[in-house]
Amino acid sequence: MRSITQVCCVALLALVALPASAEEAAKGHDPRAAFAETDKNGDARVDREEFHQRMVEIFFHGDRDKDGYMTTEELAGAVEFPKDFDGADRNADGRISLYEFIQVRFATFDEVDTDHDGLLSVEEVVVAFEVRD
Amino acid sequence: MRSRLSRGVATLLLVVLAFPVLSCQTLADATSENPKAVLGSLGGAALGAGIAALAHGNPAAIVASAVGGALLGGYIGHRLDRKDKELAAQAAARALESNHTGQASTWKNPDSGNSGTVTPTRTYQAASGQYCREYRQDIVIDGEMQEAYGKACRQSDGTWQIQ
Repeated sequence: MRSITQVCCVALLALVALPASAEEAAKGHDPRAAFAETDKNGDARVDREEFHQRMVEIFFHGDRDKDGYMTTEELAGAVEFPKDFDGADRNADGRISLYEFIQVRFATFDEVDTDHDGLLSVEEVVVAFEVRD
Repeated sequence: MRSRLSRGVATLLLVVLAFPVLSCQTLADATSENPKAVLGSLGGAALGAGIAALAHGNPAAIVASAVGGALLGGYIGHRLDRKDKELAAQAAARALESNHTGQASTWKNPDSGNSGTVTPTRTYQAASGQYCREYRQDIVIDGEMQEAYGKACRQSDGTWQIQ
């Protein structure tokens, strides 16, 4: 059984894995900054669509050769903890598709959503970050 | 990074907003067949608005560029000079290939005074596996701002094709 630490980590890193800008990079892996970057409509909640958009964005920029897949090397450059994706390559083709990438991320969305409102709050994300950190 | 940008600029670049006449055809293909015909088609397009620019190897090799649409028509296209179009093409190349969503690439031609931005607004992967990006384009000509929206998908050769 996966620990709550692992669970929180995976969902959180979906938000903070890749700086979306040089400014964000300068802030480091700041969960609040990552949350704000993900919360496109500014309603102080990250819904599934915003979460999904963030992950597609991370995948697109992490896929350096833009072949539609992430290799182990590309993954290492795109996320802070590539080991979170051990086992993500479900079809064992040696690379991770966007679908496989998102499957890993979404697997923990509900578990980090501790109040079960279907949305992530900044508090939930920060708690998850602190647990991991 | 620089080489990636250079490659992006050097490869075919096109950003056209909702030009049905060019749907499923890169501007490179179209212009290689009949540049004048393509420009004529764009100038007469009734829908959409934006810039189309093409750069093969050298940004100076832009062979076609146009702006059109219900609101803009050929008006803006005629008011953009060759340098404007070249700079817009380079900005679009950077934006589509490298920018994060919400991050604008800007261009400005000090000679004409015209300027613009290209900003990706959404990234997704089509069923075909292609990366596609929606974007917003703002153009300032003689102090007048025009905005338009569109989407383009990345081809395996690194070019971006309008949808």
